[in-house]
Amino acid sequence: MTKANAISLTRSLAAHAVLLALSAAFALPFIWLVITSLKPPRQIFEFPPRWIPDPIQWSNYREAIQAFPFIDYTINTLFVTLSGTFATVASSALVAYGFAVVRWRWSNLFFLVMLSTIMLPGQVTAIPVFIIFKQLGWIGSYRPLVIPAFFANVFFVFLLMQFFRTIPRDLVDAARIDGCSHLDIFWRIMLRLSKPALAVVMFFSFTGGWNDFMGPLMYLNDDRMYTLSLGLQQFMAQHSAEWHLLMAGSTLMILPIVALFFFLQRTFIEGISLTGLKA
Amino acid sequence: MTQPPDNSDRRQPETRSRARANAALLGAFCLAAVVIYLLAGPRSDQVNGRTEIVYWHGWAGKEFKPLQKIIDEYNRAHSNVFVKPTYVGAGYQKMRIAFAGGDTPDVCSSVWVEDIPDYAERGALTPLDDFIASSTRRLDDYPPPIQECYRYNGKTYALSMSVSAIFVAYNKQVFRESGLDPERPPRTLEEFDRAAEACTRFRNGRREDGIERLGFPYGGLIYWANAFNVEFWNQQTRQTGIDSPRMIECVNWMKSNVDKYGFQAQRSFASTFGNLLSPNNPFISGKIAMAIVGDWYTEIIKIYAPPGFEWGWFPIPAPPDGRTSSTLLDASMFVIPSACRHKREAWDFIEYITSPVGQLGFKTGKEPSALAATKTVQADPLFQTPYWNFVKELASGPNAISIKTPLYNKFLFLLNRIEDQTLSGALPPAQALKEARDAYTEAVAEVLRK
Amino acid sequence: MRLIRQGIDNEYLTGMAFILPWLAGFLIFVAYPIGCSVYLSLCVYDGMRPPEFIGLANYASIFRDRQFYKSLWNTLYIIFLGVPLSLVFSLALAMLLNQKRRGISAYRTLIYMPCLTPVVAMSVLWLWIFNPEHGLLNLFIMRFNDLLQSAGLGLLRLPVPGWMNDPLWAKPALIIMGLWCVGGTMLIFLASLQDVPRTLFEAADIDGANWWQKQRHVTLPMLSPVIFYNAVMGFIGGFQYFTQVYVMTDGSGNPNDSTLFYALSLFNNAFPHWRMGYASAQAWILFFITLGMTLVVFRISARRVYYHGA
Repeated sequence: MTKANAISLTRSLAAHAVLLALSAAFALPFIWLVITSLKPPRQIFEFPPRWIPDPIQWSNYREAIQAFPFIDYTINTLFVTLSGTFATVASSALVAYGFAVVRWRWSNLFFLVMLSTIMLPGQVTAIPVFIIFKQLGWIGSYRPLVIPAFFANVFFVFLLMQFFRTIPRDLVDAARIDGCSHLDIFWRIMLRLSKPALAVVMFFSFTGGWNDFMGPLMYLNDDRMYTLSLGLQQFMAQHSAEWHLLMAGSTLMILPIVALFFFLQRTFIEGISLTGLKA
Repeated sequence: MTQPPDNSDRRQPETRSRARANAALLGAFCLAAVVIYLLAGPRSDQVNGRTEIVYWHGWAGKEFKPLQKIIDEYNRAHSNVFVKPTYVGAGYQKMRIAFAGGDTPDVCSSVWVEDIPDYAERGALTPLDDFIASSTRRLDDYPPPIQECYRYNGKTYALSMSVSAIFVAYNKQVFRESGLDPERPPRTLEEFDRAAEACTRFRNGRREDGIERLGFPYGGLIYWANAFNVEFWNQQTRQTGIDSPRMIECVNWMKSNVDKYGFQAQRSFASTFGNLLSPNNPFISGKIAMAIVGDWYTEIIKIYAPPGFEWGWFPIPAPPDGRTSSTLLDASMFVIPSACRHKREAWDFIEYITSPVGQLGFKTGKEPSALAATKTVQADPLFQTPYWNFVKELASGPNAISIKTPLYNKFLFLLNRIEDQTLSGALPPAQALKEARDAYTEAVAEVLRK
Repeated sequence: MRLIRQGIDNEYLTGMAFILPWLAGFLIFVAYPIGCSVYLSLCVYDGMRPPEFIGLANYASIFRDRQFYKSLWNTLYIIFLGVPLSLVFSLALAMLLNQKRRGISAYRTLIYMPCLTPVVAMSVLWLWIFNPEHGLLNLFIMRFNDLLQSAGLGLLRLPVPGWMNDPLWAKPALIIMGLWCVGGTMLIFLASLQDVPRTLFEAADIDGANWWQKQRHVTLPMLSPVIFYNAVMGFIGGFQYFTQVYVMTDGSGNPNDSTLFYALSLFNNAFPHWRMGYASAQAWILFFITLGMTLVVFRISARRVYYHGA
């Protein structure tokens, strides 16, 4: 073995050691969740806690699924989440382009107004917002959960703006001279060069919708329309809580997101972004 | 410098086809919006011309199942109305926002006894007196303290299926181990403190090694203040007794007990307690010998305690000049919001659900999990056990009290704060109580200005 | 000249057309509630009876309240300590995870995990980790101290805090919990790192720059737009810090008001304590503090954020 090889091997080992240690620390909550989901109720709040459930109770999962219409609620959740994600990503990207790329008078002022709307805590606007939805006759439907998503999300607009702004201006100007409209540039240049950013926004929006509890609780009144996060409340009665089932249900509920994350983060492989164009 | 865009009439074919593609994309976006809007609409209900009674409750999962059965029966028996239950969550934030937004249910049971003044004072509830008078329900079938739960300013605003009363539970086995007579629970405050001390044990028998078992985790100021005869609120003078001499006495008593082992030691011991609703509940696992509980505790013991778990009960002890056998009553209250459009039907449902059918039917197992509200049902053989006889007596006694303090949540928040500040020694009791009084008075002034 | 004017006017309409989704949403769903909350902040309003106008009395009473300053202090504490810490930490993680290495996908997923774990499950775990007597963290600290002791460095022993039970350590405990959930920020950095052109690194290599110089002069400037984004969002989010502490303390503010955060007190007033008018006034004070600080951040960063495209 040459010296250079040895050094690179040591480096690689060191890198893996650091990554492994960090991953272990960060995976702890999830490992904990899975362990708890396999425990018999008696062992959940034991102190000091035990690492390996005794016995390992796989039946928790079966029971959790059978406690409420799991499939129906999954379909409901998918509908709310997917339509919300589609709407948010599409509208936020358009708005971000309008602020970051198109140059127009007052755009800074409008941006500041937009950003300031998220500085007011939602608790004090909750009542008037509810009144609007009531006037529209939307209470008891999914509309309050998905329709506002068509009107852009401030967090995502700002985030996408920051990404759009790193794309060379010359590219836009050249395309304009070539006779491209802004929609062309938006669609053909900006979106294509911002795939990692779009993936992030899509993922955040999906997770947000998937885990949302307050929204469905506030606006849904029919248990056939419930989402998974509302379904999990089944396990939290006033005088008896079924923690083992809650944990099993929660584990099942986050698995799809874990899978989604795993696939989405593959967009972030260093070096394959269109460096030639961007430099 | 940006060039002005081309004139449209001189566009190249490529540009035109791109424009068409763009238009199609925007069109697709709008179409998707319409489709999602339509799909997201409300589902139609199969009520077939029946009057729909929207009923909001706070019971989830297993607890709700027996109630669902009663509602199903009711719906089968009534061809003109249909009761639709909806779970509103534990925080009741949904309720507050919906009430404020004018979208109230027809019947609601996610209101506690202490919430009645807040809702009634603001005109949000329908008085039930006329309905009760025209029905076969007789208020004097309820023990007077329970009737009092339903009343505010002379009007009856609610009925309930059951009622809960607060008392002290003790672990008989720990008592035995600690040289106490498990069949003779403490009667006075002094005996109580002595029992708590006798049950406390340190690891390896050494104080500095930390607490192994605590006789009683001193806390729960609201229950003890009641036993010390503190008047939380006087409706005539509109004053609070939160900083009265009795209250100072109560806080000092609690602090002197906490100081026996040190505040920090007890707090860090308390952070090893498992959740109340789990087998690692500190009372069940033997980490504490005594706990303040409600009559629903029998349910918790049934679900979470190991077989053969021996426990007993006794009323919250009082100082010599305090209230003996004092208890705070609470219940899930069935009310009709004032905005309800089908009050007669709503009342009919409340009458049914709070009748013996509901009082006896609302339990998860064979045994009841809470004391039935009416004397008639309390006479049922189910309630003739020593435990239920004790609860019955407690809940009907002269010192059974329902809280009528405005802004109860604020009041409770302040009491918790007092507990934290005084027991930790951060503030002297007199100052903490005065601050709480000022904060409470200021908040209540808002309620009383109309 | 005329042509150019026309061009700018055209761009004005185009810009408005692009932001139309937000603008329409703002007018339909946001403007009215905001207007309402302005008015309610000048009223006694309990969320049930009609609001009664009282002028600036709510504001006056907030500024008189000792708890207002306490909660503001707690909030600023968590912002000024927590935001920079989590920025540095998540940036470091992102750089570490931006490698082509076997298993990197798994590492990334694991490190993101805490953001996905439901708060209920997390809180049980936290209570254990921060338990003063048998908690994982204190066990670790005690081991470490023993090690120091045996190495003759007893003077450097770390304190063994009571964490959530100790007014002094409750906020640091919350900050540590927050560090666990930096996955979101990290993900944004990771996405942004994909935009750092290879060629710039190669150029730096030719100039003989070492690793640190490359990060300092290539990566950081290229990342500055998203660092800026995360900082601004950290501020705005920090002022509304709520969920984690609510789960840990039930909103009590214990011990000794050390976890009474601004948004917590606001929430308590808005719903449990029936003082929506007062809460609205609190919200508007918070709004102006947040806005002021955001503008300062914008001003400071105006020259430091490097937009490759601008």
